Amino acid sequence: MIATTTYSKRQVIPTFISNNTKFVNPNNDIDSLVKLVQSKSERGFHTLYNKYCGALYGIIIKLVKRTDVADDLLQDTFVKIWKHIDTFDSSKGTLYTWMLNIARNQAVDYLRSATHQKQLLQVEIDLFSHCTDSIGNITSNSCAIEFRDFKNKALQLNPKYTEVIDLIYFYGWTQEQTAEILKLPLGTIKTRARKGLSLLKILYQQ
Amino acid sequence: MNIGDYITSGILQDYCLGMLTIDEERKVEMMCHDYPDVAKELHLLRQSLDKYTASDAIWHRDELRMKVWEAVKQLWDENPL
Repeated sequence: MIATTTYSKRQVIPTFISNNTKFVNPNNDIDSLVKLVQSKSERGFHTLYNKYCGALYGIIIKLVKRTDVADDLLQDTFVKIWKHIDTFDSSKGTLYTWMLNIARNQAVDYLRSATHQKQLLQVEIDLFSHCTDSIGNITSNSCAIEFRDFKNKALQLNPKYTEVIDLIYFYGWTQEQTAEILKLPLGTIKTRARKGLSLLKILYQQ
Repeated sequence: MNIGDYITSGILQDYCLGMLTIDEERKVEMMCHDYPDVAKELHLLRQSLDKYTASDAIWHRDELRMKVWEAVKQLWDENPL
């Protein structure tokens, strides 16, 4: 007998939605988003974050392999974006590429830093102790880094999928309510929910 | 019925996310009983959702968002327009 899926019916609006009910349509033009961020609007920040945090986090985590470091670097990336948004020039490239370069540079700078070199040494020591038994024989190829990375695999998934799964599965909204909250057609919600879960399956099987 | 088509139809994802009616859920459970491939696929999907839940990704994302926003806001407060 397969257990019937149960889920919370708390019917609360997640912080990121309630702070953000009028965020720009996901299919908006980038120029309006840039203008919104340039005007230092909170709505602009949340829209920008919703749209790009997954991609930016993805590139950072691939380089630094540690979620605690990636969290800090994502923060630094957004601070830098916020600070330098006035210098963004759409004639020289897309906003996405511009931000991706900032995130990549943050991660590369970190990897070259003295802090990272020290942490690397500590990780090597940790790895050695994890993978050997009391007399020093190698017992396993598993390591703590892989586990940390695995724990946040879902963060690599495009937020457009996870926000639908979160609203339906965690927050207990119906598909129709989710469509209303995200201002998207019901068909898109159904498609994203199905595809999102399929992608999670692929991600966790890797 | 083509089992491959059934598996890729999306109904198993709907089941896992609680998007089906009770009758529809019963039908999926009967299919799992009759076809091991369907049961296996459903198991993998449920397992992924469990891992996603265990990862705390949702809470992490929301917490991180507010942490980043605080940092950005502080920068703005220090250097207003």
